[in-house]
Amino acid sequence: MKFIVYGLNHTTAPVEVREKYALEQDRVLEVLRGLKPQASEGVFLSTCNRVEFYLTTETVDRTIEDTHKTLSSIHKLKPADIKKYFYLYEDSEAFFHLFRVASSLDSMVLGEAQILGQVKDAYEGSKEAGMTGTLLNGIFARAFAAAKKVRSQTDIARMPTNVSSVAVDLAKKIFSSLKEHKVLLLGAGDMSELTAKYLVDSGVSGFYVANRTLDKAKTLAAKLGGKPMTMEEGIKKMAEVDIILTSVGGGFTLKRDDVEKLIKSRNGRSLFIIDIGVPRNVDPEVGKLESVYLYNIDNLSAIANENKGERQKAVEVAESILREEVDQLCSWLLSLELVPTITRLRNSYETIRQNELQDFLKQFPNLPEKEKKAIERLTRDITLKVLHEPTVNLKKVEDKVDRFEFARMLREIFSLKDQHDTEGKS
Amino acid sequence: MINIFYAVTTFFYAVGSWFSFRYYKTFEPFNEKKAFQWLLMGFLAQAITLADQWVSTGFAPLDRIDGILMILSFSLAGTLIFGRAKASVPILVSLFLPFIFLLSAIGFATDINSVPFMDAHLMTPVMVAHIFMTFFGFSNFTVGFGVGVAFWIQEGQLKQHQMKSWSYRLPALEILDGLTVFHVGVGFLFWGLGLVLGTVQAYQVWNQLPLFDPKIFGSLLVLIIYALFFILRWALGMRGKKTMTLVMIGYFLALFTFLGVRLFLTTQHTF
Repeated sequence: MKFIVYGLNHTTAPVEVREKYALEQDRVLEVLRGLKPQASEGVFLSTCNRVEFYLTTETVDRTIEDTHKTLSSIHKLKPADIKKYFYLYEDSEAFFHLFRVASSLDSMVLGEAQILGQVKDAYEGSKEAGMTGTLLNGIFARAFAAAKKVRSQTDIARMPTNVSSVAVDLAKKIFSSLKEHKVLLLGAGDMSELTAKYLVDSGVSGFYVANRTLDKAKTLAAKLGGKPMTMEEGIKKMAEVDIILTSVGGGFTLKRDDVEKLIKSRNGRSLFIIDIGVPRNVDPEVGKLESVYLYNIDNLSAIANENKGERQKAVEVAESILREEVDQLCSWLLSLELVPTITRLRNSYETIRQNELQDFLKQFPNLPEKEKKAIERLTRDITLKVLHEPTVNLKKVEDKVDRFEFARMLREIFSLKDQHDTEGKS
Repeated sequence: MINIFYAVTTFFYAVGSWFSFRYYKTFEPFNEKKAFQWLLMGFLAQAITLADQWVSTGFAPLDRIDGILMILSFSLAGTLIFGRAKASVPILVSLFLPFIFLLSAIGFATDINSVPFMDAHLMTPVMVAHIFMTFFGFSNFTVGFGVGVAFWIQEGQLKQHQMKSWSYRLPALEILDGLTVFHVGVGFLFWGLGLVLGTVQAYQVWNQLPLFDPKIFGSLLVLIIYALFFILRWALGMRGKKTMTLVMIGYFLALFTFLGVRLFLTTQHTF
């Protein structure tokens, strides 16, 4: 039995191709069912950046052919037109690819969090429809565990890579939970809206929008669930809040003296000022004041870019973790494959021995019981000795993937395949 | 003869330290959780070790170096467990547990038949309480110092707009600040009580108050510095590096008073 990944993603196919393969869940299951009996188990993942089949099959070429036929019929395309966008991975390469996808190493935005949920949903959908069995259940369980390990042990997803997320993360590094802190937005421009939204979504205890034009403040406050006010009211509110987000045009500047007076009334509470206005709204000297943390748009962008670099650096570590996990998965598969193969081989020989012995004894019905037993012992010893060397050698093969292949070959050579499948299904 | 309880304690701390190092390598919460569990078990085993020695000898094992190291590791472990009730800072247990193990291991390896440096008749309940309180106070200052250093680093990173990957693993300034105040506050209380009890003991033994003994003088100075820390925070609303500097100064002075005085100055204290 082979495990394959067959699909396309943002690196192999443009969006106009990818969007054609986006399927609804009902349709997905229909497609997977259509691939039976070639593919005994299957999961289909469809996101905006990838379309992938995860299948277990004995006949790779035929399964791929069937996949193309099914997709072509759905999308009314010629198989030849779509083949060039697809890639195929088998066994250990396929495991590694799945692990990379689940860990967000294969995503367009490295380390993004959504992909793991999407892979889980795809798997759950197939599982509920009875499209997964021992192999895919085990493989996906390990993929999820590997992804969790990568996220917790590397910097792949730890550090935010967009300016708004960086601002929220910084706020959390100053105040821990934002639930007891209030935010004041000075200037209701488009620039600040996204960052304000991120802060509000983090559960701040109060959100105020101050703007020169009150109507604009009202619109934004209504949109984000805040309280609108005039600029003058906003300036007064500064003593009360812990996070100030500024994006005011027209020469508005918060001077060091203003903030110095302000922090005296705050009894040492920290103040986080995010100045995303261009030109800047806050005098850089303000950042030198005790317990004041001032960040402008360049500071935030620099951190976001540095974090992107850190994520890139984490790929190598993450991949080494995944390789270990793939090895463990291969070991698990071996435990499924190797031991039963040896057992089946022994059973096969034993059946041959029994049959031959019965035929022989039929030719000599008057043979004394003692001699019958001696012949029986002789044939059993011969069988055991013949099987001893291959069994020992099979266990000696160090490379786990090779052992897996070895076991597969053994099943092929001795025609153990059908028997294995029958047992596996029972 | 090997003290089996002491051996078990050291073993527990060793396993906890192993998980601490694993935590540094992986930053997986599982490892920190395990480290804390082993710390807890080590603490309980150490409590039994102490009780056993106390019962078998009739007085707390404070007259020998192994006993002193045991009390020090015991109070540090207790401080970490106690501090966790205030705030869970995963990196803290993993930072201090190897030191606790080291103290316990050195104590365990020290010859328990070594000559006592204190007369048994001095081991009155007041003396025992004085030592325990001072050690617990010092342990809290130590953890408070560790948290203060973390605050110092984190604050520096935030001020300079440089968030490195390890900065994301450090807790928020608010948590670090609160925890520093907590440990310094608890330390202040116990250090102060230890000083009062030590004074009572000194008066009982010598019928006078050796105020100019460097240990007592240093201890008073430590209390003054930490009192200043609280006054600046609460009365003047000062925060950040300036007040953390006082935590550092207070701790180095406490460290000198605790360990350095015997090495460099003359004191009536036996350790």
